[in-house]
Amino acid sequence: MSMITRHTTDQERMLYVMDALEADKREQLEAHLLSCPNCHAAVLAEARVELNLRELCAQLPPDTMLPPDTIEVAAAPRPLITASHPAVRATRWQPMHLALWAMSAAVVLMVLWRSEPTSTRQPRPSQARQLFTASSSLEPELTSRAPEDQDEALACNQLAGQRLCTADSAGALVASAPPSLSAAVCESEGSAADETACLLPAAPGTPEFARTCGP
Amino acid sequence: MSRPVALVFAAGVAPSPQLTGVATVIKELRESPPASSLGEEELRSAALRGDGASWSALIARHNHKVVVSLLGRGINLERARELAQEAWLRLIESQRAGRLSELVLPGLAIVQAGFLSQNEWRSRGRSGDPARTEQELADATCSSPPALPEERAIQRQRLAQVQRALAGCPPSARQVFEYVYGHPELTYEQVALKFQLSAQRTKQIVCEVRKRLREALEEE
Repeated sequence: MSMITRHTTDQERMLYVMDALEADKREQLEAHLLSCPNCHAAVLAEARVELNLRELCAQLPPDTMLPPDTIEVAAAPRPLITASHPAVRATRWQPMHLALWAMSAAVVLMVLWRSEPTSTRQPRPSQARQLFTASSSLEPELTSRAPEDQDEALACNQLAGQRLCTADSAGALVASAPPSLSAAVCESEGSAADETACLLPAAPGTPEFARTCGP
Repeated sequence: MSRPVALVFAAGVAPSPQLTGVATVIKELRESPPASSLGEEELRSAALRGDGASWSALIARHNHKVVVSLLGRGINLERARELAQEAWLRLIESQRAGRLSELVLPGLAIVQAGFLSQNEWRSRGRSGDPARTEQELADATCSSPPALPEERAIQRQRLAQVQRALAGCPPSARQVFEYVYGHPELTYEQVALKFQLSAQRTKQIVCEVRKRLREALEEE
């Protein structure tokens, strides 16, 4: 075994502490270190750096220390419920079955809804309609041609002895205004958008009907 | 490559007087067939079963890392070699006594060698110069977790520096470096095979990244 007769270089010392030197070169370098205090001190410093780096690298996030081809595998979380879990072994509903059940339920509901009497599907009359229909004298004159599912803007006209509320489209409500009402106010009930109604002016003591419709 | 036994008892290094039964171990190791062609896992399994050749191969593979870990603690090369030998013998004795159920290398040997160096410091510290022993204590325990908040803060700062320096390296080089330092049991040849590089190129990459990290640590 020969010995290096010159001082060691940074590169050699680095390779030495990294364990990257060939065995014979390492022995040569070690033989030199035993006789050269300067190089020996430099190697101790390099070894200290190596020790520090190894400690620091051990503290790095673990995912960065994995080989590229195993990162995905190792990063995948381990399932808490395994094949032996009772929930997994229990009979499971297939997604196809669930979809069929949902479709069947939807069809049954549609059939039931269609077979239901029409009167039961009518929305509850608004307060305005109740007001008219409650009066037997007005009821025969109340006609409505407005489609049920149509929002309508009402225009109110005050005719002689008669108040006419017309909708933009086809709907119109005609009602005879009571003689005592000089100024009629028409309002479409917002809660019953599918229904057009004409609202009489608020009677004293019923402030909730004091709203007016439109300009 | 020299025979593994030559690493265990390198030429020119006198065996430690504490080493008992050394001659028997040397004889057994010399008589064992070469096992260096086996993989790490096979070697460890065979060593745990008491196979001398496997122990020789493992020592040849990992002894230098143990020596460097002792050098990093400020122990001179000659003594570091002796302590490394002693650490290996302790491990072999433990295995023979049935006290070794698992063999994680080189970590176990490094820990064993560090333990021996600390023991040595303690025995010297009782009769030595207080200032010098304080420095030796710092060297001997440099790998233990920092106890004081200031030390922990410094360690965190160093870690951040290393992470920043690593982030500045090319991703492929960083991967190689991290793999080498994350798997100390592997040789450069094995890592090179993993990344489909030559061993020489792998060493070169690790050298370059390490230089950057060292510079980052020296900036503090």
